[in-house]
Amino acid sequence: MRPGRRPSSRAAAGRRDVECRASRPAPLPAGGSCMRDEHRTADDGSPGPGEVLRDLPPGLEAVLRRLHRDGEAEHGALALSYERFAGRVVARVCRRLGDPRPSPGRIGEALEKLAGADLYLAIACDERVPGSWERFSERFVPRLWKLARSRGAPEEEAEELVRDLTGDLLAPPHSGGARTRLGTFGGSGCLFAWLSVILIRAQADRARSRRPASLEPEEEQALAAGPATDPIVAAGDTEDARRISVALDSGWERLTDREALAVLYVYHDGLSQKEAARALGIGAPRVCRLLEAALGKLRQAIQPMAGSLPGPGPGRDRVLKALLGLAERDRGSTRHAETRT
Amino acid sequence: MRKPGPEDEALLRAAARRRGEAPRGAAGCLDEETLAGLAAGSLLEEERAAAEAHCRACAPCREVLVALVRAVPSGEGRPRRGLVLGLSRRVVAAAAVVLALVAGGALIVRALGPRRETDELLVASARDVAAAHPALFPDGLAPLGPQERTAVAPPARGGEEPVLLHPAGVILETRPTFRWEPVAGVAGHEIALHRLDRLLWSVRVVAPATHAGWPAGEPELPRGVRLRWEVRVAGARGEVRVSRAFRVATAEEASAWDAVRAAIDERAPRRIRSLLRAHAALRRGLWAEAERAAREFREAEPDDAVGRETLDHVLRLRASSTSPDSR
Repeated sequence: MRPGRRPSSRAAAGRRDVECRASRPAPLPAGGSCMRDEHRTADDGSPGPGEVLRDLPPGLEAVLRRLHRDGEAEHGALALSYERFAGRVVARVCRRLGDPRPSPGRIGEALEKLAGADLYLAIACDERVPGSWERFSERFVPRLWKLARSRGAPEEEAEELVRDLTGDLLAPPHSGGARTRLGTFGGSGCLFAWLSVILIRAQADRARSRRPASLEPEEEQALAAGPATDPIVAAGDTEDARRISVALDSGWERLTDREALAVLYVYHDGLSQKEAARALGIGAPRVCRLLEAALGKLRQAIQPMAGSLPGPGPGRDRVLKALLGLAERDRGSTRHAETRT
Repeated sequence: MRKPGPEDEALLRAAARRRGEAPRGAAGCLDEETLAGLAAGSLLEEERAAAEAHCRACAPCREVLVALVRAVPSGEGRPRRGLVLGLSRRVVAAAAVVLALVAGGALIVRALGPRRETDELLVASARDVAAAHPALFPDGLAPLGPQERTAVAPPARGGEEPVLLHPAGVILETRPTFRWEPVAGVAGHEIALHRLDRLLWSVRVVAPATHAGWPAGEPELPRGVRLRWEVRVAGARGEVRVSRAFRVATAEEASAWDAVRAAIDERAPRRIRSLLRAHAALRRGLWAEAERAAREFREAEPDDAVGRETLDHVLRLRASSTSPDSR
């Protein structure tokens, strides 16, 4: 698993299992190969992806060929022809757009954003192209192992998680549309991110399944303290604090999704503004503007009940006391969490 | 944004804390495809909006997304432009250095590929759009080639002559705003509009104003007629006059341009649409439209050499003191 490290016998057994499953030919659909699906006309009479592919304008064919070239450049030339690759990609795009015959403009828009190189490898693995699974393993297994370790999994558990994941990737998917789960990768993001989501969720599931056996100390404390209280009310413990809660809620509803996410990423999830910009797919200066807009709306929401915000006054002081008390508590709990980590 | 003070931070933290823990059932969570696309910023517009609305209310999905942002390098999985036949970046870079020594800087840019790729895509898309709409493009649609794009010399700019920017070429609006680059240090500019040798309108504009709108009380400018506007300025060496020809597109030309735009938006790949619009506008003499489209492309693809050359070409044309429109 980890490069330069002798794998445990359990991990080696797992890898053998993966290799065994990878080399076992998957059952083909009755009457032909999987590629038939990509070229046939749909049962309801609407054109299939094969027809869409044949009718593609030259501009889009150039984009598809570029994606194929990107795949060869990134992962080495595998025995995956352009026609097979393009058929699968167009089928995926049609499925993603929910339209059996999308306009060339819509197809082009979707193709431009695809992670073509990773899609090339995933399709090659799904098509059992010789050498593809080895490329996949070399490229992704060590990184997934590292990711599991960086998220707190002990070595054994990290190996187990990765082994389970790679095994799942070769199993037939619940949703159909491909031979293996790896074949359902659609290229919306990069393959490593796609795999990471599965791994992170599997890791979280494991952690949850272990928890009921022994309650964590803070959970026990929480149970002893009774039902959860409104954090602002708890911090301020005044009528003003209750009114802040209501005002903040109404202010929050006025935020756009992007403004709310920018606030959550930076002030709750602990991302830097640069990281938040990546999560939102925008530049860092725009995150600043989103935060500024959110701040304006929240200030506006609490202004009437505070009386004199942002100017000085007794109402403002009470509001600030409640808010600052809460912020202090937040900072304290963050430090506590960091210490535990 | 100025650095938020403790009050602002407290407010944002309080709001985030109240809503940050919102749970949601695992069954309704975003799938791995959507989360990976969201982290890469490569979802389609409607997919992204739906995913962001979900994440606003779903702490577990946000938690995964945050982990992805931290674990996955920016730009992973995106095509690496410039790779050739599976060679690594280092090999290509080394080859580029050798080429630089042998053939000079200009050849490197050509050898790296993106320019050629954009040109190929532009030509293929133009051919496709023209083939799909033969009535709109009876003579086909040919984008400007590299030589044509760089053929116009930059305008000579004398400090004592105003530069007439708009209108120029063929314009779509019948009430244009006249724009120019002024001569420094003069009290004002006199603007005049002529049809043949007949004066239609004139106005004196006090410096430092650099534009004058067509007056609301005047009738719309006639379509399809060649007009000439002139800026007069009294400089240190006497009076200077600079003029420029233009015409307002006929109703048929204006509706044909709308159809061309629609055809390009329908058939051409999204990446290349604005660039193809710019080239189509250039072929029709619609310089203002060409500039708008070229700027749009340049903003989306700031590193693209074809986009840069196209915008430079348009800007050179617009600031040129002679109009190619001879009708």
